[in-house]
Amino acid sequence: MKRTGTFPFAAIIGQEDMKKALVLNVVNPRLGGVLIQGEKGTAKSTAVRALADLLPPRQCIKGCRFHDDPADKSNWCDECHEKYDNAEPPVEELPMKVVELPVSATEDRVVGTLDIEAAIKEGKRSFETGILADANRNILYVDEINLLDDHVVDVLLDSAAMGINTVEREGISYSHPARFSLVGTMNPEEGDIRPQLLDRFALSVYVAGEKDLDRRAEVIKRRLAYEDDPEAFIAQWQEEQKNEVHRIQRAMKLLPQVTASNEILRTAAQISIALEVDGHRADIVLIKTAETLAAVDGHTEVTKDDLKTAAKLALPHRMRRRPFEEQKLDWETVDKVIEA
Amino acid sequence: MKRQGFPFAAVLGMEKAKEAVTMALVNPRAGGLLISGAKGTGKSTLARGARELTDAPWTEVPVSVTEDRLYGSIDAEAAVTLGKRKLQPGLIDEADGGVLYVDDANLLRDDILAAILTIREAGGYRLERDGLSDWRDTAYTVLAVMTPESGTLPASALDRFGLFVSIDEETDETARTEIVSRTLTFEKDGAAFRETWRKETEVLAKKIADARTILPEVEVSDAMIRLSSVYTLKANTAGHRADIYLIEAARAEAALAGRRYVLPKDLERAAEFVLPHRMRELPPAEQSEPAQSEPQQPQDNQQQPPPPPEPDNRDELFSQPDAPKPEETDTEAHEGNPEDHRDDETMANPNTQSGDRIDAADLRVKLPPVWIEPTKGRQKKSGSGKRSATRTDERQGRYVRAELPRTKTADIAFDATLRAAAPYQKWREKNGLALAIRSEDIRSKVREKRTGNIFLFAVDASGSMGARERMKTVKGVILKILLEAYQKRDRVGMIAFRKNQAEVLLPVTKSVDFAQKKLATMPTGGKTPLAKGLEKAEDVLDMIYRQDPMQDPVLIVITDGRATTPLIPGGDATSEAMNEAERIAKRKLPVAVIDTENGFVKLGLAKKLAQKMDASYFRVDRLSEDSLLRVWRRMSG
Repeated sequence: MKRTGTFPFAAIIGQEDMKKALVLNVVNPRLGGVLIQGEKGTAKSTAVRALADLLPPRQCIKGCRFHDDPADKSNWCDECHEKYDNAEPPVEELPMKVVELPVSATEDRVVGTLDIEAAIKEGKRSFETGILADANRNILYVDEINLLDDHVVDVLLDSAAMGINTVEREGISYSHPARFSLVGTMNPEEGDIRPQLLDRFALSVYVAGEKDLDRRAEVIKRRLAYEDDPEAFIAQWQEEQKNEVHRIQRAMKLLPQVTASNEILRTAAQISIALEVDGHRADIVLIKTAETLAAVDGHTEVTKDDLKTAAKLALPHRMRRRPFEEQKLDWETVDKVIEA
Repeated sequence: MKRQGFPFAAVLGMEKAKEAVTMALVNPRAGGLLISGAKGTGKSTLARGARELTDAPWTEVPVSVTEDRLYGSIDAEAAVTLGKRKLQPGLIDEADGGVLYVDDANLLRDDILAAILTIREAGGYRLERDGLSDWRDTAYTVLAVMTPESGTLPASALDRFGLFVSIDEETDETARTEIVSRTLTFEKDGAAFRETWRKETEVLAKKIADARTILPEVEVSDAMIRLSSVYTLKANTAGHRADIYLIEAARAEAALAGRRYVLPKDLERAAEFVLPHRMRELPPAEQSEPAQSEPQQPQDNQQQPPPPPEPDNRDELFSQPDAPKPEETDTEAHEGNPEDHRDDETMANPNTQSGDRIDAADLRVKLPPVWIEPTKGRQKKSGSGKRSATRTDERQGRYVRAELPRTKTADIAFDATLRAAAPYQKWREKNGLALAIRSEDIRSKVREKRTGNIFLFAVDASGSMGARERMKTVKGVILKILLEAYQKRDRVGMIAFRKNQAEVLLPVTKSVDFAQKKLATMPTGGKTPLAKGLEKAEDVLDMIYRQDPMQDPVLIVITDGRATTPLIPGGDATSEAMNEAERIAKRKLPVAVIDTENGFVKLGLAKKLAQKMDASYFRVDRLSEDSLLRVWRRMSG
């Protein structure tokens, strides 16, 4: 079945935080993903799927099942090490992908399993890759992530922790790189997400339906126009889409040059201490997010404003929450620390 | 894949944890190490970094491990190509002489974790699989990491770890800044960063290697053995494991210091890691009834886990009976004199309307050991860990092991089928394929789905419940159950009945937050349509059954049993309620009745109701006497 083109990212109205968070994760694939929470029908899934059209091409080792980065030797899979440790690897350009993990996915499909065909035809025991292999260096998207089976969450956590998927099952013993940006969407009314999984998301955003009457009407108008004639609608937005891609590529180029001063690092630590967040991930993500924001904005030195915006995206889901209390970010404290 | 991880030496702070890791690596007889800490504290980073400190084999057990890979199985490839029955060693074998690393110990299946720990103690295991029969010697050090908030370990497993260390995040600003800075530097250029720390890593590795060399010569005097017994007696540990681990850990300490004899200070340091997770507060009381007094004070969770409440294997640690960790600081103030501060914990909005009242939940309520009898004819669920592990016939859930299919199966375990077929390939007609599989080779997958339970509350919200304190207590009880449900990822639903109706206040949901909100604003007042409430409960139970027939929801009815509103005008409210109760009994589900009746004149109707429903029965006025912990364990069996 051929799919019609997706609704253009640039045509999504409002939801600025969500769009920003998604773009940041494209610019910096090492950021660590985003959790999008919100009620039904707020363009969560649309935005993630639309993101696919903005993804830039990047260098991959040709023929590698995990699309290893030729420049990042420490994260090569065993096969690439074997073949190219003493030789120049062949390179191809592939676009980053949005790999979807359906809620109904079984564990063997997620982590990979025994290659049955090879077993029967050749009597060989070999590894058939799963979704985690596809997801390496890509975006792993889980819609309704709060409904994911517990044991699938467990394996996700397991590989997200170290960026490696270790498979010890069904006669197979194998491990391969699995570094992915985890993007999840959920409607909190349908259930909670496990704290450990929540913590794995670098950023989190809440989306709500548009409240402004005019903008709301515009949302509907665009949606209808798209449904009437998707191709025409997409063509209409092509220019905007191109600009967006261009902005992303420019930011990606700039990112390696962005630095954060010691003062900024210290401020991030102060924020985390003041808010009593668990662990150190908050500090690290704050800085990485601020750096990426700087790159998107076109400057190379992280500013307090970058940090402030980063805090808005990186902290809400990390507040130490007491059971049955709203998870709320204490803005005053954050502001005070940053301005001090 | 070889990891190019963050260097152990570059991990800032966490001195205790580092010391523990070093001890565990020096002396495998110290019983391995469990590191516990909140998410993002760097515990996995530290533990994985330990890999570079030793030349010994390093084997990781992922949570998705299947039994054939854990224990070993027939090498199907060799069987097919060579026609030989050869063992493909499992992880337990591969770890021999080295470290077996488990990243999320609490996410691992209980039986697998138990096997890993038991085999280590025994120093080997009997392999009986795929026609192989063998005793395999193996000796390894278990290094495990866990995040307490995502689940607990059974006490029996905990006790099998020689050493335990809990880590917290750094709170010093300068140190924190340095941690971020190091992490970012590592992420930007891992190879260069590792090179900077190579020297320090080597020094540490040498220190461990040296200590290992002299370890066999480290002697323990009788006086030191006596001293170690003093420690373990004082800590009131169960059995003698602690003594052995304490002495072995102290020997590691001595060896690390380059000494060939153990000093009291070695024992003292070792005790910090050997005792915390097996310390028990009270001497074991002589009782047959498992109900037992609990620690009076909330424990200081920062440093050590709370003591196991009793040497009952099914109990778990890290859940606080009466002071859930997150609210510790709040409850502490009240703990001393529970009679004061009666009214200052308001969870609900205080406004009331038309004679209805809304009570806040009394959080100091303690629950009785609710023990729901598994009804006759119902199979008791297996598994002692996080909630029920339900074997599923659908193709969902975790592949646990393979078996001969009992019926025609579509869920074929190809790996097991292959292994079953492999030894016969020499004699079979293969039609050009490498393998000929016959129907007798077919094995099917046994899957297990770990589902949280469903708890359905049917709450009497009539006027009689509104009497001072009662609703407050009831809300407290429900909230306590919700708190546990929150940690266990159970689903809860709630029905309230009052005036002339019963309403589903909360559809069965995983979102206990939502449940709490509904609970907080639940008004009371009016008459008691008990029969209607029970009828509604049946509707919901039907719906749950339709959604997933594998589920065995637990029904908890909270009422004083005094039905006042009949289903049909003019009917007898009480007898109608009893009829409904009998209907519910036919479902053979676990049911509990919590009787809220108090006062001088007791009609005992709720008790009768419980009998009709074949339910466990508890009185709310006794609720304050016992601990919550056991309630939950029992109910989730």
